[in-house]
Amino acid sequence: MENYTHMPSPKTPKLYFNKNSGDFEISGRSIPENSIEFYRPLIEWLESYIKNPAPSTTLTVNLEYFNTSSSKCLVEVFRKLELLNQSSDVSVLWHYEEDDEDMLESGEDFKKIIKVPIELVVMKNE
Amino acid sequence: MYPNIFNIDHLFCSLSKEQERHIFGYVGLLSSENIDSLINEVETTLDGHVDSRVAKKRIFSILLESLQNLSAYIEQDGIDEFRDALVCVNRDDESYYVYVGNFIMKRHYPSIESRIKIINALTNEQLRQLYRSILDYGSVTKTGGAGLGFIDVAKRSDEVVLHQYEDINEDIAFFTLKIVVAE
Repeated sequence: MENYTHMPSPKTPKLYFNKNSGDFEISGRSIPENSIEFYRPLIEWLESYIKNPAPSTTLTVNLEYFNTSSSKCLVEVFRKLELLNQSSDVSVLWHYEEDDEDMLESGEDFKKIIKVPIELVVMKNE
Repeated sequence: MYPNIFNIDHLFCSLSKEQERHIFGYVGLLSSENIDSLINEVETTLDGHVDSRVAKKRIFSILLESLQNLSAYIEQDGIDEFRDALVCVNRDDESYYVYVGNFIMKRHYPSIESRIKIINALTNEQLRQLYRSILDYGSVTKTGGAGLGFIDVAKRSDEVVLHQYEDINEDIAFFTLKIVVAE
């Protein structure tokens, strides 16, 4: 099993999922029209990872924009992490810019729905 | 073409004058081929005309969501000579005004109208609850949308109202939404 990576594009985020360290990252923009197709290979990769995970798994989410079809896919990603909770120490770091109330609210929304610890991390504006 | 009584360019022209300043406008075909360049153009224009980062992100998110939903709708249900859409962004000292207009099958209108009524009847907290519950339990539709787009637009704005509805023929109408975002 390889690490899962995707280089960022104007409409899709950087995906970096390291199977050995358990360091995962979704960052940039997630605004493709068909998010399901974009996220499907990642979901499949996570299904394999769950069978033999690193001792701890930390997903860093640092998104500038995401559309609603991506939000549904993010829920799917988090649901996979819920399954991991037995075998790996899982946490999610949800980053938002200081003045971006909407991104903070989105983090809070996921926190209410998802049963893995989600820490909301504020980034000070430059 | 649609009857002379309705002219999308005339409508656009009158919308662009509804507030003091006109920022962005587009009238024409909307499809999966041109949506990306349109979205890029929206973003570049907003960078130059909207000072507040928060308002800029909100307006961009609203237009992104609206245009992606609209292009999926047009590709799925659009009728050849009715694929044009209209986008207009204006501002005054207090707010930004986003108008999005498109042709629809009249039979689809009741569900849109009832969704507008529902979101307008809900408080912000209720909207968030509805959004969360669809995110948690809702299913993804065949076009890839999760039924969330409309609620997302409402959450980011101060007001979403039906601005104009015009019969084109017995099957088709043109309707325009007005979305208000505070500075």
